[in-house]
Amino acid sequence: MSARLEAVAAVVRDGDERRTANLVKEALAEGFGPSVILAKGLIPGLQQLGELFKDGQAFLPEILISVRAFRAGLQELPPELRDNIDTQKGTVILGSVEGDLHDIGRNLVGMMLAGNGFHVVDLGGDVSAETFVGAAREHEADIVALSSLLTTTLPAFGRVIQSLEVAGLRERVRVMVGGAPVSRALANEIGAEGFAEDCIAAVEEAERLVAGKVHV
Amino acid sequence: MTRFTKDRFREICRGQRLGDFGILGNGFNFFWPETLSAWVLQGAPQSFIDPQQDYRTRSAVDEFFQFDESRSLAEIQSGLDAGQSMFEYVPGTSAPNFSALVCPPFNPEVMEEDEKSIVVRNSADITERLLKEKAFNMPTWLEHPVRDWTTWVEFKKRLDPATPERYPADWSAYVASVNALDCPVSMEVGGFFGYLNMWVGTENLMLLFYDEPSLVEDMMDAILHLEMEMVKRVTTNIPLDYVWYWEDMAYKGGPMISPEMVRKFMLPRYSRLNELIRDSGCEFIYLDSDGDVEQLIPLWLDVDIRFFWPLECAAGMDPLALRKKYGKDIILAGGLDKRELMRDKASLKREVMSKVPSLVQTGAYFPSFDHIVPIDMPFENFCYYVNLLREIRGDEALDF
Repeated sequence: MSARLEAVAAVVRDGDERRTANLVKEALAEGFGPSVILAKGLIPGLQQLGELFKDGQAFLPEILISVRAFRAGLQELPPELRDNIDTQKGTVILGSVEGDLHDIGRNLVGMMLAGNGFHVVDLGGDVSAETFVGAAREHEADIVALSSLLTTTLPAFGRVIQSLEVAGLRERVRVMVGGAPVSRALANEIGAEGFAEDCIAAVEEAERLVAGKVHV
Repeated sequence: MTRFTKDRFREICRGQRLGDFGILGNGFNFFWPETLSAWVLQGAPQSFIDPQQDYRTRSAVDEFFQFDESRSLAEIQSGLDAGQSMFEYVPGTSAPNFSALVCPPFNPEVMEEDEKSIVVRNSADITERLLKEKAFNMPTWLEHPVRDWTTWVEFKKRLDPATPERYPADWSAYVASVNALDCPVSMEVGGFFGYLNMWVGTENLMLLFYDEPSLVEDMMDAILHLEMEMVKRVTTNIPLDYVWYWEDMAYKGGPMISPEMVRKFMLPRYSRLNELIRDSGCEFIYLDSDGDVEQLIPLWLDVDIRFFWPLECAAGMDPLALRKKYGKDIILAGGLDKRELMRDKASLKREVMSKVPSLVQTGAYFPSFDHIVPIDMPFENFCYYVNLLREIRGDEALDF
């Protein structure tokens, strides 16, 4: 990777919004292609932040400033690339299940997935199984990502999975779950292929699911 | 078993009464209003949901389960409910109303309503969407009162410790009534993260730590000033057995902000307030934060906060491991996995017996669910849970 693109990655990782925008402009002026800047500068910056998060060296504020810097850099790229950035890896339908309105964790998951090349359709909170199914069909989703904060709303996970089966979508749509009371064991129990502890793990899990791997 | 006196509480906290523990209500074993409504349908007394009862002193539920006596000074507006009980609602709705340190409170109002949900602005000037049938679930926050310095300067006017409404009108009578009690007496002393999170919103607060750290510090200083003045006034007249912070600053992945940020922004303020609290003769400082707080415990211990609830198992908190690691330096409360307690009686018994006897033998432990008792806990099983705790303590079973 060139020093210029390494610098772009570093300022995204460090959450420096202004310098990210400036360095992307400079990279464009130096003749780097927009897709190269995205793939070898901006996205690696978010990935580096993800590594820091996993190592316990970054927390939620650092994620948010890093995503903001990433977006500032993205704004400097041509609109046709910006508009297509989120279709590279697959489409994720995201939402808090019926009876659950929380949004903080879900927002973070959405931001990180979008920043890492997924097209995210965030349906918001209190989303019925039918709405998940409708959105999965309409957007030709690869993944339906379900979030729940409370034990009382966990049964809704099963209802969404069942509705996807009834709609004949289960073969092609992977289901990923997360939230405070959710565990890998619960995901296995209800037949969800994916589980993520946090927004960084959600990106890895989504990448694993679209790559067709099976968790062991 | 003897009455639950101040001395007994203190000795348990100090680890001087091995095998003994309190079965305490509010702040330990307590309930969402929706849980109590569900229990009435399952055969619990109608008095559980009587709106006329005074939840600030001893509720019908505390009486029914014969929880040990304890008294929270909830009439003093120093915390989350600012003197209100958990059963205060936005008028005409089922939406809970929190004023979150704000006094005088804003007038709560209904902004929007449809068949399923309601949008309200509460007494803390937070606009939020709630589900009508699950009003105590986490809402979606739509708008927060503090957005910048201008909005903060205006909001701060309602954080004056001298506002008369923060204290009961007949202070002398109140002091006399509380001082006549021989049970543990506690008071909330705010917190330096949870309130900012409510006033500013999580995402905005996370960004403010980087964009406007002086604004974050000014908000924390306003809380510090408010709480120090209130603690001075209260402890001049009322000896406190413990105080409690409400923070809610972690999730299952760990703290929301780094330990370095906690050290920089919060510890100096905890230190000042806790020094005052300790100098008043209050020995125990309790902190309520959901999520995985393990990384933060050593920091809190450094500033004399060593009493923790709820120890949320789904977030990986393990009271047995904490006891092993910290010994009697730490007072534990909660840590019983609600998911196991709710499953069935066999799972409940397994969960209680795998933790409570061992923890009480090492002292300084107060059993409770690892958060407020949820709506899906069957009433019958909660009765069984209470009798199981009583059996461990050597008390007679209650005839429910």
